[in-house]
Amino acid sequence: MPILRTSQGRSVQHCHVPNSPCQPQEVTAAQIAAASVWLTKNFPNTKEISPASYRINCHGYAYAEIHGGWFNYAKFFNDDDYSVVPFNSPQPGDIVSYINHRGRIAHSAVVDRVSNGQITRLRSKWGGMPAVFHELTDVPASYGNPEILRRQNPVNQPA
Amino acid sequence: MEENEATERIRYAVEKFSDPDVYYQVMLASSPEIAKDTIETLPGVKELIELGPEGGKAALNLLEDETYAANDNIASIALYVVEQAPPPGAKETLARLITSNKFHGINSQLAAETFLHSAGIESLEEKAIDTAAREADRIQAETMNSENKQA
Repeated sequence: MPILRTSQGRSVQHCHVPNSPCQPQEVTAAQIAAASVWLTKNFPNTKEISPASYRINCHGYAYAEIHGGWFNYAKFFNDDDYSVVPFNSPQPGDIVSYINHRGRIAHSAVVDRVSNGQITRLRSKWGGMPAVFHELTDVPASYGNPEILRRQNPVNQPA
Repeated sequence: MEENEATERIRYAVEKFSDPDVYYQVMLASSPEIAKDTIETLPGVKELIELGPEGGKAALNLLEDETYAANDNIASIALYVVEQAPPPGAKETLARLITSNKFHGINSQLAAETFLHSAGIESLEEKAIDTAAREADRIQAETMNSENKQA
């Protein structure tokens, strides 16, 4: 299991294709094409950024995009490296947590554009499906509602 | 419930699970826990669980049918139904499938939890995959020994 640590030194569990418990192989070309068709049909106002992939999921995309990987939970990132901020003061780079019908964080999305204090565009990876630009509520119903806005804590600079 | 009604429910559920608009919902999930939250809302799932072990058996059959099991998303749905309505033989069948390395990605965790539940074994979520692999090996060996003695 690879290691990625928060600023507080806590290891955040995740995996990378092809290592267990991740998928042993990437999404096939046929699956990529089918996923794009599904996206266009069901969410015509989204714009695909990158195709379907098992290499990264929403939490990996939002909290560890450069590192990549599949993260089941965002809790350690949220606890150690991010703070909740009011939803009426968004900034690009903030992260929106979507809360599902069970009260769990079902999705993370990165604020991409803000206009007049409103989030006008986000980017996020939809599970194993494509990464997309989308509006705040233009997401699968299973993700629930956008309820929490978080901002990365300032990194301590050496004196 | 009459046999015809149960058959009709199973047919309806399998038809729904095979619909890309339904099974792609599972591929949107970023974790096994969220996949379960999603699956419980999909059409056909509640209907199958309400059938009890008969519905669980229909789901278990999907896991043994290569046509369906090759689709990870359909397999996720079937695993959830088996966990909620475990049929007789679920423990042995899942032990065989786990030892055959049939499950990957999110399904590694779902299969582990479903198997452990059907076997009455408790485990922490983060240790479920390792525990299930060990116990599946043991149960599979017992099953094969038993079959050899009977032969």
